[in-house]
Parts: sequence; structure tokens; C-alpha cells
Amino acid sequence: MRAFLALARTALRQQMQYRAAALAGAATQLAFGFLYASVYQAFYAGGAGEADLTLAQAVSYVWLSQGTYRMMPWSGLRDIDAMMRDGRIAFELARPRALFSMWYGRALSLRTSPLLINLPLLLVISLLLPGDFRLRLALPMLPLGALSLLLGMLNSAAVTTLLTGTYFWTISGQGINRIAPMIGSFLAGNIIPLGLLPAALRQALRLLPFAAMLDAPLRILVGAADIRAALQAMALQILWLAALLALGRAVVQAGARKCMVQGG
Amino acid sequence: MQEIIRAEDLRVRFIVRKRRASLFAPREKAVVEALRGVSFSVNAGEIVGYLGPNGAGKSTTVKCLSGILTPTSGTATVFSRVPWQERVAHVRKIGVVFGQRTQLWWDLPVQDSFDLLCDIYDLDKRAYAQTCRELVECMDIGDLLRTPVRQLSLGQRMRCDLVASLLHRPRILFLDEPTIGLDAVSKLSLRAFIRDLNREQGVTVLLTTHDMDDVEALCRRVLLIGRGRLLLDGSLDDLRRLAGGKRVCRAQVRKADFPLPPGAALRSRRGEEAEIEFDPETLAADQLVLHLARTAGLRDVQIQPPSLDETMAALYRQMGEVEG
Repeated sequence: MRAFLALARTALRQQMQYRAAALAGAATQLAFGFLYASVYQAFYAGGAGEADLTLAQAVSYVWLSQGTYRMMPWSGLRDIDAMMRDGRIAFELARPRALFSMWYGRALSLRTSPLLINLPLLLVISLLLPGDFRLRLALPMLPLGALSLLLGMLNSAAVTTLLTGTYFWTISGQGINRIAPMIGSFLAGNIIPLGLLPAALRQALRLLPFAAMLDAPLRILVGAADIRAALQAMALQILWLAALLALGRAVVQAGARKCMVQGG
Repeated sequence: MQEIIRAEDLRVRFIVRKRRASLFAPREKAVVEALRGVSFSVNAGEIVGYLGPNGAGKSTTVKCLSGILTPTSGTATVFSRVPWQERVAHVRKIGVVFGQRTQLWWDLPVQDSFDLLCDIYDLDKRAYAQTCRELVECMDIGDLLRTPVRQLSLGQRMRCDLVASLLHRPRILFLDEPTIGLDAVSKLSLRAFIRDLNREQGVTVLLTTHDMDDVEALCRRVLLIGRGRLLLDGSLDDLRRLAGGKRVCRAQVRKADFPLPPGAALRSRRGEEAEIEFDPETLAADQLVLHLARTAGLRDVQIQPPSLDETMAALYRQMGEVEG
């Protein structure tokens, strides 16, 4: 636990060296938030179709997904990718710790620390916006929603570690870093809220681990899920977390066993 | 003497894929046998030099013994553990330095890297502070502790790396080319430090290097490896004997041209200075000197064993002829 916390703390400190980038990111997310919110206002003017979100909920979902943008598993751990390329991975293996838990600690830090700046900033701004643009949280669901968001972060860090594990099999992590997040972020509801997809599709997608990262907490926080649906979604989050951790551990262990550090 | 490292018949094989000769040609795979059955043992408190040309399998052996790499077959025990099977317990007891790579966190100050290692190894805070103080003083890196690693010179970084590998007070230290790229001052201080560590604390050291001065300064025993096989386990003198036991005669001679007796060969000539290599088995030193005095107008003479670098070069050439 001590090593886990120390590594997470170090990753946090490394992240905090990039404060200007975090602010720039927040500005982008703000701009995209306005864009999406305007688009959905236009959509809803023509009817809600089979969406299971009201306009206010869809707009709030947008703000939350922009505020938690950096929480999504946009890549594996890039420094581990670099270590695999230049052989410093040997030192990772020379530590008296399971690789998986060392990497999970770093992944967790990587996925949560950017939110320390971005999320509060976007929340404050979007809570103060006028009329249809305002973020409206379902206050009674806030505790469950926060807990679900935490589970989402844990799931996202588990996916990050799993992606990192695949680096053992590829010469460069660039490929998987590009393709996996594109697919994953769509399936998670980061690009279009899952509630706006056709009913059959969104019900299927909500069973997948991607929804467990983002759609579940956001749905609860904007009030699109009642208590029962919220608890169901969170049970699924816990199941996926257990599965992803087990899978990630297995992949990293198998990779470390076949790992061959070559050259001087 | 207590045996703490034992390697038995270590074999490591891996596949290197080569580029196709043409678009439709099948892809070629080459099997590289990095180690082809290496066995040796090391006793507690030894400093053993592990030598061999590039690609001989030195680093591969070190990686097996430090638990980083699982060999294709064969076994090894270090502190009666199989390193790659009980990696986590094993690496607590050993320190590793790969001279070509750093284990410090690139964008953190040196002290932060040390503190992080303290947490990763779960060391007692007070004992760690004590060890750290001693090592920092010994290696003279007090001024560097708050500098980010990316801004250190190679010599400074290497000293910090060595300290990092010793914070958990390992009983065995694996040093893989620790002096590579260092200037003379850094080399000497690193050697003195390793020698003290071995003498005063009894740390066992396995040292791979291409710097024969490292070997001469530190190692009484050497292991020579070539193409994945162990070729010699003995002293530096054994090494010289293996290379043919030749001698070098540096002579100041007046004559530009002179005959040489059988068993001697001219290696170089610059002005009056001639360098003659001879084999004391077939040609005794006094015979050669007498011959030079009679035929070449000898002024001064020095007879030495060839330098270790020359010895190694001769050995590597022999190995190439035998196995190439």
C-alpha cells in the first residue's frame, strides 16, 4: 500500500508540472461543451425521439462528460511504453513489487489528477450559466453519483493498466493508444450520451465495461436513473472492476514472463 | 566460504525476425542462442569480473540472475532462491546497476527518486535516512540531491544510480558496465567505492565490463564467456595464459633492419622504438635480448606481458577463429 501511494503521489507530482496544459484543456472542454449543448438544443426542438434523457439532462450530461474528459483511458502509461522501447523496463522488474499494482497506482493518479483542476472549474462555470445551458445536478442522487464516479475512475485506471500490459506484445504502444480510446470513448458515452442512442443499442452498451467508466455515474448524477437503476448500474461497475483487474493482472504477468530485455 | 550464487546449465534462446528479402519471400527467423549452457558459482564476499565480447551473453546472464529474465532452460539459485520464480522476494536482496540505463525518475530531483525507492522497498524510515546519508557522503553527491535527474552529467548520474541501487542494503550487487562513458576521475572514485563496499561490508559483486582497468583494479577472479559459453573461470594470470602467454619486448635499436629469430615477430616500429612479440615457450627472453644485442644494436629493452586489453583482443580473435 505504501509503495502504491508513493507511486500515485509521484505521478500526481509529475502531472502537476503541466498546469498550463490542464487549463488549456479546460478551455477546450468548455468550448466543446457549448457546442454540444447548442446542438442538442436544436435536436430537441425537433422532438426527443426515443432518447431517455430530457434536454436538461442531456446538457448536464455534456458538461459532466467534458469535466471528466481526462478521466477516460486515453492511452496506457506512456512512460512504460518508453521503458519497453529503451529497456529501462528491466528496472521495473527489479523492484520488489507486483508490476500490476505499481502500474495501477500510477494509472489511477494519471486518471484522477487532471480532474483536480478541470472538474471544479467546469462545474462552477456550468452551474452559473443561464437557462438551457445550465448544469442541473439531481441533488438527492449526489452521494450515489459521486460513489459511482469513483468506481468509474477505478474502472478507467484498470483499462489504462490493461492497455499498458499489451505493450509487452507490441513494438510500440502507439497503435493501441490510438484505436482503443476512439472506440472506448464512444461506447462509454463520452462523444454522444448513450441515452441518445437507439433504445436497443444503448441497453446493450450499458452492459459493457465502457459504460461502467462514464455513462453510469453521469446518468445517476443528472437524474436519469432512479435508485433501482442506479444501484444496478453500480453493481455492474463493481463486477466489471473485478473482471478488469483480474484480466489486467493476468495480462501483465504473462507479459512479464515472456519479456526479453535485449541488448547491453 | 559460503556459496550464494549458483548457475547451472543456463540456456537462453530467442527469436529475431529479419526483414523479408522481397515482398513475397517468407519471413526469415533466426534463433539466437544468447546462452548455451553456462554454469558457475560465486561465494559470499567475492568480486567476480564477468568478461566477454559484445553479444557474448554477459548482460543476459545478469538479467537471469537478477530475476528479470526467465531462461529457456537450466536453473540458478541466488540465496537459495530461483530468481525468476520468486522475483519479488529475490530483488529485495540484490542491487542492480545497468550502466547504459538509469533507474532514476527522469523529471524528479534525485532526492525524490531515492525517497520513492524507500517507499517501494518499504524500508524503515530511520534506517533509510542513515543509509542514505552515508552513501551520499561517500559518493559525494550532496550538492546534486535537489537537481532533476535530466540535468545531471553522465558521471553525476552514474554516482546517483549507484547510490539508488544500494539504499536497501543489498548483499549482492550486479554491476553491468558501471563505468561506461565515465571520465578518469569518476572511474577511479567509482572503483574505490566498490572496493570499499566489498571490503568493509562484504557485499558480493558481479561486475561485467569492457574496461580492463576496472577488472585489474577490482577482480581477483574472472569468468570469460564467448558466444554463450563459459570459456574460463580463474585468475587474471589464467586469462593471460589462455591468450597464449605471449610477451612484448619494447626495444630501442639503432639498426633500421635486422633479422628476428623464430618465435618472435615485429609488431611495430617507430623511429628507434621496436615492439616485438614473442612466445616465451619457444624463445627464452635472454636469447631474444642476446640476439638483438648482436644483430640490431640494442640500446634499451623492456619486457612485459601484453596489456589486458591486448590479451582480450587476442582471446576474442582466437574465439572467432575457433567458432566462426
